[in-house]
Amino acid sequence: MRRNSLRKAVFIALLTAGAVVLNALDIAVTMPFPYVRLGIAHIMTIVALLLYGVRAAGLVIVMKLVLTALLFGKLGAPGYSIAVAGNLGAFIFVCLGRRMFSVVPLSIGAAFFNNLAQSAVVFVFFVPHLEILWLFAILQGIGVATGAIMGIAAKLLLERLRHGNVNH
Amino acid sequence: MTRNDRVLLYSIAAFLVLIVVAGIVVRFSLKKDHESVMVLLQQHTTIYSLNEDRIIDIGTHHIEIQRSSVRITHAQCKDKICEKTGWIKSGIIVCAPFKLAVFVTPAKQSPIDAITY
Repeated sequence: MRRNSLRKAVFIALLTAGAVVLNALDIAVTMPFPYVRLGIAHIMTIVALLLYGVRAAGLVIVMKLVLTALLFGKLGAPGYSIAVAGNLGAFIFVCLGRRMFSVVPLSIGAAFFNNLAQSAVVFVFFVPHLEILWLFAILQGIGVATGAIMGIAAKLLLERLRHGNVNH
Repeated sequence: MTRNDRVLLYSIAAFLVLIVVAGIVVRFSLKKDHESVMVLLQQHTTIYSLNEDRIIDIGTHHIEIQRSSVRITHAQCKDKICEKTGWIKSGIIVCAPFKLAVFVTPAKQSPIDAITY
């Protein structure tokens, strides 16, 4: 029992570290495109959710948000609330839907709700103009595509982890 | 793919189509009445809509608004820089000798200049 919980703690720490590194990579890669993010870090979140459940996934997300904010100095920036809202929206969706949907649709839905929550926050607090609807449409299109790719990646990773030595 | 997956993906696809359609509608309906023409003549300001085609005769010049563009014709000055500016959709036409300036301005201005992420 103790061994299992230790293994779990270490694995969640590994997933968090992976999420932070992938998020840094994401920020670097998407630098030229201001609103677009790949969301690679959420491969780790989905793996955490499906292997260890809601609390583990929540931990990975919160740690990822805090560590990324500290690393890139974004904690006080107004844009940070947008990131938090997006993560929260996606998190609520995957927690409710994790037993209903398979991995790839779950990931697509998470990307969708991430963008939905972000756009809602942008609309309410930053740019209350209907023109951003256009931007929102483009964002959602890209989001669904990247969500599908990340879902496939998460699925492959999960299959390997379940076949390998990781007990859960 | 379970049945739930399919329902989820279809509803997301439907929502996407809806958003794209709404985006297109908003883009082409809202943008039109967002701009106005501000005519500044010797410190008196008059505002016209950019979307109503008309010719405004102010004595020394004619200001012509057509198809969301503005130009100045019949200028009385000799260098006619304002006439040579031609049609504008944004920005400003100036006639220095008569202290005339024609601005195309957005109707609403956002209190926010820029947002970074």
